[in-house]
Amino acid sequence: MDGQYDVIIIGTGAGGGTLARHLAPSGKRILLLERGDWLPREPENWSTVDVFVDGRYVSPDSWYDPKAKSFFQPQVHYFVGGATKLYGAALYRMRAEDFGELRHHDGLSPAWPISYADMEPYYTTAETMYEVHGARGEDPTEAPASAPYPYPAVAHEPRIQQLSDDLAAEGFHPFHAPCGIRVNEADLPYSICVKCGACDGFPCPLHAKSDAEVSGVRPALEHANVTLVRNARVVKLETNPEGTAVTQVVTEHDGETVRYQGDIVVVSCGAANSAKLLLASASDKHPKGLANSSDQVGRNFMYHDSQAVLALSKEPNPTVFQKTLAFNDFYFHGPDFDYPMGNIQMIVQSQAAMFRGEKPLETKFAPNWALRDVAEHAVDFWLSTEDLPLPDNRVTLGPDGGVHLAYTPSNPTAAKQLFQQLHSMLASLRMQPGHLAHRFAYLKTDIPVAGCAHQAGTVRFGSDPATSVLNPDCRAHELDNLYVVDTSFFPSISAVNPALTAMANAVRVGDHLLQRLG
Amino acid sequence: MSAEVPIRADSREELVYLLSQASELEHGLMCEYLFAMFSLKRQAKEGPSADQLEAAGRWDRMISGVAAQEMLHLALVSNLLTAVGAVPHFERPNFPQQAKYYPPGVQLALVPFGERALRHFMYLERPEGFELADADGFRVVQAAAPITGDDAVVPVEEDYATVGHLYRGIEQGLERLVQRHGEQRVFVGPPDAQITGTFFRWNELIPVTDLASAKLAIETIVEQGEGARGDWRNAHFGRFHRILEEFLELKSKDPAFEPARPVVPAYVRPPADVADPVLISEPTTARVADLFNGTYEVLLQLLLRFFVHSDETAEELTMLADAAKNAMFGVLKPIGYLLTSLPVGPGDPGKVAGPTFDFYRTAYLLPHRHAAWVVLHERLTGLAEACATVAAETGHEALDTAEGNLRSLAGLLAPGI
Repeated sequence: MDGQYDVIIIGTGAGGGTLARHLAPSGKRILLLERGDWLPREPENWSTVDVFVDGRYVSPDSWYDPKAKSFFQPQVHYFVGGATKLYGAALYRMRAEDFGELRHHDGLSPAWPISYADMEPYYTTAETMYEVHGARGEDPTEAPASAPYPYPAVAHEPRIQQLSDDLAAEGFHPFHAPCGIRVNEADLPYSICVKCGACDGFPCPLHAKSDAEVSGVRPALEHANVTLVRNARVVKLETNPEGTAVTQVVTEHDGETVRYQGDIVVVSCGAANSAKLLLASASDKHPKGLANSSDQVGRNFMYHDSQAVLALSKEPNPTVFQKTLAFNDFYFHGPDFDYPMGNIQMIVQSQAAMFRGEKPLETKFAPNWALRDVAEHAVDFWLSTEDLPLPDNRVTLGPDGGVHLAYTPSNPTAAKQLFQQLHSMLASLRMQPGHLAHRFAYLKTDIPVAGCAHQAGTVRFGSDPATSVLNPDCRAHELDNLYVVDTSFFPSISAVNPALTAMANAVRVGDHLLQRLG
Repeated sequence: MSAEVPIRADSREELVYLLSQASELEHGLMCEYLFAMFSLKRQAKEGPSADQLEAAGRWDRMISGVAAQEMLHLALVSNLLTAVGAVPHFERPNFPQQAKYYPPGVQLALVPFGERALRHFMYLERPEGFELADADGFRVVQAAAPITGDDAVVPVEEDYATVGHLYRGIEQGLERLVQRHGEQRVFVGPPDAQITGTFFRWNELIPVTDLASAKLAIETIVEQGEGARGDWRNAHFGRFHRILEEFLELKSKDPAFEPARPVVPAYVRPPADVADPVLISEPTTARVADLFNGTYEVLLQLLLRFFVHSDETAEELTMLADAAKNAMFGVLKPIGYLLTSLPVGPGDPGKVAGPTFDFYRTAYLLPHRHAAWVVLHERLTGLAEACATVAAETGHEALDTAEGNLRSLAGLLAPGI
């Protein structure tokens, strides 16, 4: 036995990193186990070619797609801070309605066992922890909040302000997208963030993005009672003979097997890897996987099968920091569609280095648009439709213990409607009508931009042990000391980015753990 | 351990009287807890260190969770009252609710966060058999003895020592009545008037239609307050105990640590049932206090309409429940936190104003459906405009938050008119 702790947290992303920070002041002995290392701060962090084309910060892994019968490299980032190291820091609350049952065209989004009101104070706390910039009252779909955003909204650059004005003129409700960047626009010389064009999808060498390393793990490590072990991959959780408590966390570190013991064990590996760990921890008492008598572990994989699309502005778009605008006018329904469609937000602007030199894009926009022209006029949107939980969208283990991920898009009608809706608006937004291209059609990489960045749902919580793995406190129904705190617990994923909800939930479960630990 | 004095509840009238007292206590406790929560410091410029502020933030959320459970208890008691043919009871005397309203051992008052408040909260929610002294300043006041004997035909004041004691008396009373008259004669309220947990995502909010469900409702209240079978650590008692321990530990490390603002309950106008109230003389503070009380008033109206609805659809009931929840955290909270940062006035130097949860009338029930929704919408809109006016003149951002949320609530109800 190599170490005894009050709390062991496996994974340092939005869930684990936030939980560590929240528990740290308690003085309890906390161990953070992270399979990756620090993401190096280097000039390549800002290089489009290194990041986006060469995948410098994509961690080697191989998952299997049983439908395509092929292996693929998932867009995963095994670093301290997890996937948030490359995220766009789009930190949205879910809508109040997202916590209830929602009927979609292609299926049902199930209710959560807790309400928005239950999560609200934790959203407020998480927004402060992650220095979220935003403005309440602009988005008519947002739920009431008990406090304003801790920081003012990030200002639009002129072309995006024009887009906002055009949307408003058409009767829509554009709003300043909530953004976790450490910018001080009132005093730019002293601002950590410089609002560069390499934010969304890039790591930040300035630590100017509120990711889980910067705003979670590093503040936690200021407390002497918190220990971080990097390059430590947890391969199994072992239990007592009765199967009611985790007694050993089996870890591979520097080529050796190390075992840790914690009074509380928290799994925060991300939806696919959290499910993988539980499935790999099967035993006599847990033959279908740890905590899996419901057979729900690994199922209901959701990941926001979103669409990154490029429109062409009639005038050049010199915007550097584009990700300041969003609109939810089609979140719950559209003009001719009575079902939820989703969220539309800006993303990082396409850059010439990202494009293929081959014909497809030139052909698509021919004969008037050369690649150089496309790059100068690109206006990039992210269309996010809710992914619905399907039991056969699931993570299982292959014979070699690797991740097998079976996935079928669950809400294609709404996704198509959202694309067509934006397509129909182009002329009124000073964009070239008819030109709305999916970025994967022309980018040098054929991996969708998000990859599996918004993965969720594989270890969902609920009140009924027959249909859920975790109770409303995110504790395994079947084990007294096992918790899962990342996006795995989501019964539904809404149409907004899941990070803030994962962070808020980490604070919520953290409060519960502090009460429990005494 | 001293045994609890048996409580007499031998008739429907006595039961309804006791259930109404239970409602008042749950309501009063909720207000007490919210007052303590609002009194917590929230910013570094108020003095606490980062770790102390983090602890205060956690205590805020813990107390908020307890207050939310008191709301659940109030809902369960409302279901109990409805089940025995009575009406949910949302009235209460103004603070401080000294022992003239309740038995000598039960006193409610608005107290800022601190050792005194925490000991007082623990005292009221202590498990059966725990011997605890109430905090300083909450001395037992001997009430007048009742002038009627055992054959009284109207309810008389009963002597209960804790909230749990009262509920055990209610439970025993229900059992005796059912023994005497049968379940059907006792549980005469319409089952479809019962409120279930769907609207508030409370699994424990069960409909009460018979003795078994009534006992389960009471068991939930008692267990959440005192704990089950001696396991008090996760109950309200245990949570306050933990907060007290943590607070005392932080205080021992830093004797100068003061987590609460210098808050006193302060009225805009003196209520008839409060002797020597502290009155606000600072105009802005008075306007914010009025906004708080106006919001509290419409919250009670929303809750009463929800609990005593007539022909609202399930969707409309959801609108009312959502409006009530959102009014609590989206309006009452930001105004409450703002109020406790504002001065009482020159007559009380160094003191800031705490919300008094003024209770103006004897009933907030809006009995007719269409009129009720029009009135609620009108009131929410009016409060939004009032917030906007004060926000524009004072620049307080919290009022912008409250105004935006009030308008959202009005918008939420608009489709139901």
